[in-house]
Amino acid sequence: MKKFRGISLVAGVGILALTLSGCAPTEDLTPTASPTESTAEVTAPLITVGWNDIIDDFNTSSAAGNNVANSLTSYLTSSGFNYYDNAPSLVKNTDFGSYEIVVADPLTVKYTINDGVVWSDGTPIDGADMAMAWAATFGYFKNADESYMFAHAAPKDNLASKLPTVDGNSITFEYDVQYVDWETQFGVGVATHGAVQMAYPDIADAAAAKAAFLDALASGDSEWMSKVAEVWNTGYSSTNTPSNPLVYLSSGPYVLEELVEESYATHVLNPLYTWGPKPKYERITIRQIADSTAAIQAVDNGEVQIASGQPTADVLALVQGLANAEYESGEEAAYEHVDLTVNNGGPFDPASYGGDAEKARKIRQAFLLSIPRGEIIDKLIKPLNPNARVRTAVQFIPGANGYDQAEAFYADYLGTDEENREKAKALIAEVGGVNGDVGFWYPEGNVRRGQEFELIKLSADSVGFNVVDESEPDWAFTEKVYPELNPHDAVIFAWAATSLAVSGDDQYLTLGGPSNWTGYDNANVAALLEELQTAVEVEDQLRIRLAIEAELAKDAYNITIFQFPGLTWWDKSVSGVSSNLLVPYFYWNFWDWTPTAG
Amino acid sequence: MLSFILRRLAATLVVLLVASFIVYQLTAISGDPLAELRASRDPDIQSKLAYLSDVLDLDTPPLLRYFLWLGGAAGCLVGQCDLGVSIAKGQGEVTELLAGAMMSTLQLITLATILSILVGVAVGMTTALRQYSGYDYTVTFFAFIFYSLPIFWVAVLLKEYGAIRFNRFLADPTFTPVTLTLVALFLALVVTGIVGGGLKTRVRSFVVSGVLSGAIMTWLNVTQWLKTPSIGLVGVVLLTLVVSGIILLLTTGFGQKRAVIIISAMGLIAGAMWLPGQYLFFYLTGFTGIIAMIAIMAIIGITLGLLFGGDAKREIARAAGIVGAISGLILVIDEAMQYWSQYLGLISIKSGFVSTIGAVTPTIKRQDNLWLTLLDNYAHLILPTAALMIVSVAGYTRYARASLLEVMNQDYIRTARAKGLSERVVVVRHAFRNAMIPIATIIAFDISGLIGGAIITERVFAWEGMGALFSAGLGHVDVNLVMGFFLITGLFAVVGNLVADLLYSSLDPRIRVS
Repeated sequence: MKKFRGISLVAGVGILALTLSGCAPTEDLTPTASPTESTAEVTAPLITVGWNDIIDDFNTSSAAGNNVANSLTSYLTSSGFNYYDNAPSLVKNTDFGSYEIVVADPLTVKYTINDGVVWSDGTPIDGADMAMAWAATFGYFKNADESYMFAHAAPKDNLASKLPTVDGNSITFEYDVQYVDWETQFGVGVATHGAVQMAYPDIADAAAAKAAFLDALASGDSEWMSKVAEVWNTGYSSTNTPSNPLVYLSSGPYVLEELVEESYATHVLNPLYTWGPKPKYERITIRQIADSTAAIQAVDNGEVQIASGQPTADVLALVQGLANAEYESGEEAAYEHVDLTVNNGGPFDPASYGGDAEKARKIRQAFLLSIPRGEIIDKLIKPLNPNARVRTAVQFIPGANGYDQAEAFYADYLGTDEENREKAKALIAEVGGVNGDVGFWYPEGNVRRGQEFELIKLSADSVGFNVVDESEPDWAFTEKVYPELNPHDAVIFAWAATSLAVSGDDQYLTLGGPSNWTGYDNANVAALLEELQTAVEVEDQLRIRLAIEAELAKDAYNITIFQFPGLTWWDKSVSGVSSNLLVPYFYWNFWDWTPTAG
Repeated sequence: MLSFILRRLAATLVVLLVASFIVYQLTAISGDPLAELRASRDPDIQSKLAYLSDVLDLDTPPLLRYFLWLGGAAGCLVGQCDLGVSIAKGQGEVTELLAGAMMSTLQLITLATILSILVGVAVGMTTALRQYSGYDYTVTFFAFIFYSLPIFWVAVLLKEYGAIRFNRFLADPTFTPVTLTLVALFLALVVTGIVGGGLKTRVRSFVVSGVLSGAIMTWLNVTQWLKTPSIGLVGVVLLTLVVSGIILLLTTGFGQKRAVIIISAMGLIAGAMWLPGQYLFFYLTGFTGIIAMIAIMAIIGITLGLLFGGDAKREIARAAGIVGAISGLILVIDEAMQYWSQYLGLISIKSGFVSTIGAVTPTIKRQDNLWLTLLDNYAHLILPTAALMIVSVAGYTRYARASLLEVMNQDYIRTARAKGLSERVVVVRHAFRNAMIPIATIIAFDISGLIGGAIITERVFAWEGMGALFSAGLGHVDVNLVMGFFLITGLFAVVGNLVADLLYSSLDPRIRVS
């Protein structure tokens, strides 16, 4: 029977295989869990944190690499002479190195890196590294077409032109001008031997590479330098783990372990790191999550331990609903303000009052007083940040040194909205009425600013203004720099201060400045700003900036309203998380992140 | 044929050119890419603005800038693409960004598309066969609901219930008696609806399926299977037998004794291969092991079919080969699931495994173990795949139902029945194949749409594919990035259309392209 043979054969094969398999030793086939690594100081193996983007360039000083996502990895993998805490104020890191002014005039500074501070490949960090940072920052080398050879994000060739003195671990250089922001301007950057060895792979030895760089710097060898600069400009760009470890040399607590494009970057403890606070997690992974809701659910699900975002009512409600997470409502660097245009023939221009500057000033002050700041905070911001407060100073972040004195100049504005409206009515009565409608610009489509406009219009109209909606989706007025005129009488938007640097205010406070869209012009302020440029001592800076603030208050230049609310939330398995309104945001004290028991 | 393709491609080029011009202008005039930076008080902001204006040629009016972009894009024809840099993505090269995003989007949509087609066609065609039954109405009802659901809402809900709550449930996966009874009753109702028939059959299928599902859930409770799921020897045999049944139904039918015996034997053989398989995976690491396993099982099936198939040996060999390949896949899955507890130990989710963001877990990628990577892919793909499937399955169900209904009313079906062919043969051989023709063209067209159409799914699941690029590009008025996206999705749409047309003509001899 053919059929029977078939069946028996099939069965036979099956039985044979079953029997064979019965004899097999099985222990070496089943996978076993690998033992977990343990190190004495480290208390947890891994923490994962969210951010909306991840690193793609390891040279954050270059024009191409200068953005926030890059600076986060850079913050974990580098050490500097100073950093911002969450006050915010600048804190010196003396475990890494020190700096001092050796000659006050002309300003000469000396930076010294401590002994034993090394790159993650064991090469000492020394004066040669700072020499390359110097050459890049101050635009020392230029191409034939006068462009900078080192494409630094903010090259400043007018500040220092005399070659620095490099002596082992230290560098000393002289500024051509007394530069106010010298302290935040200079740091180490990427490793010199790394850039040189990438440009000239034949140079095998790190010390030789440093020596070659210093020689070329001293002799001004542009041809040799151009290859190094090329590497400095573009060689640090990498969307995945770079194949050459020189690209991601670390001088900080962590060193990059793995980078996956558009997905995550993992950083592992740098075994050579001894200078500075010791983190408590063996690894930090930064995961890319653009959407706030996704980041909240990821924390809820335990995939991510810390995340942050801009709160909306929905986002805040979701975060508050998390059973296993804590959150902190904080502030962001951006702050909302209303600027008034004084040179476009509108109600805030003296020309509308027969050239009477005092009348225009009173009208400006009346308008600023009529802005219901208390109501805006209570209705729009407090629901998102219960700790929100009114900001009343143009140049000072609330909490920063000098804010309280600056606020005092605005004493007239500090009453309740109702009191302010009465003052505004009185001022308008003194002048005898407002000449012209107030054309008010806000970015069309921005819901919060639309609501702010409604509140402002209601309040300002009640004291005698006629506020007209001039909202547009684009920011056309920002392209009109003096002598072109801003067509809007009042604009509301936010400035974002990204550092505590004191220079740069001339961009919007002097006539012709690239961000001066109000036509504001005050000779005293211009003179003070000029003086500020060269005020090296901190006390002088504060005195001058307060004087400027007093002038701004007196001129009814503008009114600031609130810091943008920020929100940071984290799983209860970690403690010590704290937000910061400046870059690097909540990452600023990553060494304090501590795993909680249980 | 060739001239038809060439003509179509030429027309395509013109369409792409005009469309790219329009998209470029619309994106460029939609805002100022540097608006965010203009409001920065960074002292160095002016040099940054100058640098970006220079890199993005912002001083050139969009009408002319388009031709600069076109020049760079034309380089793609000679292998030197220059699509500019993206301001939204940290000044990265658009070509590089697109390459990465393409890969991850394909990864996301491949599984979802295949499963949607399988499930959608199966459900759609069974509803057509049970037209106007309770099952049909129920499926129709849910198809319309799912079809009209907003996907961002589905996705967020899926994450809440499918991931966060399900993961918590997995900390102690025990069904309470109430849940158990309710679920069993529900499943029994569903099965009864599908099976249909007279009152007696309905009562019988209700009781059997209700008791069976209740028993399975009790077993899950007792063994805590959900905590550390595995297939095991018994599971492999049972699953292969189920597959054998389905394949038999679709190919030779249960009438042929030889086919039934050989194909059922595959279940036994798969069980016998269970332990040798462990050796195979131990010595043949990586994808070679997986391919080898599937190939070996398929070859066993084909050989058995050819040796003992008798008169219908080619047909049986084919069916047995398919069963063999699938049983190989089951063995592969079984092997991966043996790494389950190791996997759970390596991820940071406290209980459970379902992931809500991204495509990989960093700790797993570092292990560099194929089986752990497979499990990790599964844990990450399950939710976005479900979200994408919910909508496309609903669509395919409707198409498949309509298509099969139309075919079933054709004359040649009546002829086939009149010849005395069994209903199974009429449906599978005569109706099913013809009903698939219009669906095949829809599928070709759908895939091209999915490449760029998963924007919301990608955003909600933090999946960095084409959709994420597009929304980042729009958010930052990043013309280069939006154009890169447009170029790829536009090409896919056009090619998808062409493929759909060609497919139609090759599947249906009545249609000729010329």
